[in-house]
Amino acid sequence: MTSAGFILMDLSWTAIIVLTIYCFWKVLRK
Amino acid sequence: MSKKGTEAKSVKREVWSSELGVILAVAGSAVGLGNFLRFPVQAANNGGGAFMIPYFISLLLLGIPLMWIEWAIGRHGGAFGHGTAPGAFDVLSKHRWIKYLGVIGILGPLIIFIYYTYIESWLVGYIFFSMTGKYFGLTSAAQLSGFLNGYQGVVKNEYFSSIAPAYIFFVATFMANMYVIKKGISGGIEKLSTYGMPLLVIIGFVLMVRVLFLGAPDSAHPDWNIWNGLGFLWNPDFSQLLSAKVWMAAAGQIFFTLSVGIGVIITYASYLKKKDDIALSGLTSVSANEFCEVIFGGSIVIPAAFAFFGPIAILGIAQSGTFNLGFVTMPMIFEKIPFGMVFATIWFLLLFIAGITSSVSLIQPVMSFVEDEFKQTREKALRIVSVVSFVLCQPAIFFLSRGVLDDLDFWGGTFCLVLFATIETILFMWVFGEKKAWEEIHHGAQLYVPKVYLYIMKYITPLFLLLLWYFWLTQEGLNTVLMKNVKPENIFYILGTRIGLLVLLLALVILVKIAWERKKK
Repeated sequence: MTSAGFILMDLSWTAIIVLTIYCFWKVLRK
Repeated sequence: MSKKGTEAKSVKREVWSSELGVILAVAGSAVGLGNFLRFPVQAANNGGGAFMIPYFISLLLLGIPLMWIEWAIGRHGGAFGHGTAPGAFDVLSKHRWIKYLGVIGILGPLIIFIYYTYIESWLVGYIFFSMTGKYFGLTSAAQLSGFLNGYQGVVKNEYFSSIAPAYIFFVATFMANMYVIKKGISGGIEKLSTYGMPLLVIIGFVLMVRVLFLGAPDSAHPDWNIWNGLGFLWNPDFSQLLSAKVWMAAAGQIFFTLSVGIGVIITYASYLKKKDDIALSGLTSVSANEFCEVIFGGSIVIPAAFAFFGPIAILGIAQSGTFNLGFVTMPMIFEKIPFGMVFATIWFLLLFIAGITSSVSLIQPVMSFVEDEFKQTREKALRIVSVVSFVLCQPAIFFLSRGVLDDLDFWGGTFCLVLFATIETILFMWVFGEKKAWEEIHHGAQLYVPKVYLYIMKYITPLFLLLLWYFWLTQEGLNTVLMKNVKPENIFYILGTRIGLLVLLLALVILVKIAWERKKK
């Protein structure tokens, strides 16, 4: 995998993981 | 008081028992076979990592807005006792004819259900075959394709002499779906999703870790490894971003993965209470779907196939279609790894959970229509819906080799989706009105939707949908509508399918008319 491929994968994963954790945290903390 | 009147009063609409339950149910509806089999192929064939740029733009401008629109229409309709699009549309506008546009929101999911359940039943069959090792020993793609075709009843061969095993698994799968529906919204669908979705995530994680630790399984080809397999999926080809085809592929993938434009989210959201949040719930269900798609879907099939079959063969595999990837390529891989039977079993279990949480959502709109608009009890509605849908499933099973399933997929899984999404967006943002729409989305909201989304939903999302229509019709849609790719010997069956669908559409229109006339009395 090229460094560009790794960066795109890393950014995509990070964005989705952060969004998922944020959303579920907001739902579950109630 | 008449018996009918008593029955109408005794029918009370259900509600979800928790916010997490409805989120998992919507996520379960969205997460399907496409997350694990369609997404990685689309990404690999359309620019690799560069595909994620139009993919995320489409998510922001098309997927998330449509999700909020459907949740809002559904909850609004539910407050008036309507769980499906005809009723939900009717209360959005004064125009009497608008309810008939909502028929697409019942027809679409019904069409998908009648072929999706059969595909889901193959997964049940393959769970059984994986546990018993029935196809273990068949090591080539040709042998495993023969096994699959024999099972589907497309050909009679040394593996299967009739369609009987597939039909038995189909009946079992159909009954499992109806059992969940019989248990109701909170007791059936919510419970299935509450247990099913965490299990799906656990299995997805186990399979992903197994694949990521495969390394380079063939010592003769050290460059055939997982790292390069991930590279095959993620290495960007930015020149592809100049192609409209890539942008449309990304928009199409977002559209189909989120289960928007079908009508099922309207039905699910109709069982919310008026004060329940939809802004955060809608976004949470999107994030859960994306987690399963990009992280699990992108890390299992394509990297594993690359590591075992190399950079040349993967090009053919990536073009070979969803079913081939799931039922031929993956079993070939499982035969090559230790404890392959266990991993094969959980692979098909993963797909089955993804399938059943989607299929129950597809039949629920029809159930809600009968229950809400004809004031029938759940038991009576289930009897009607199960008999009708079981009969409707038969052509997809027995005329699979004639292309009936593909044609149903085109009309239910593509055409109706884009049409319904266009209708609901224009209706909600333009006819119902942007001010009321914005208030509806924010009623009880636990998340403030940025104001820019008001303009995105009003202008950008409809424009995106119109562009999708244009490119889709010019590239493939028109040829499919005109049956240009249909083999001459199959035209009779495809024509029969389309006449059947027209009759179904007409029947639903008449049923809506009858239901509303009965209400007037």
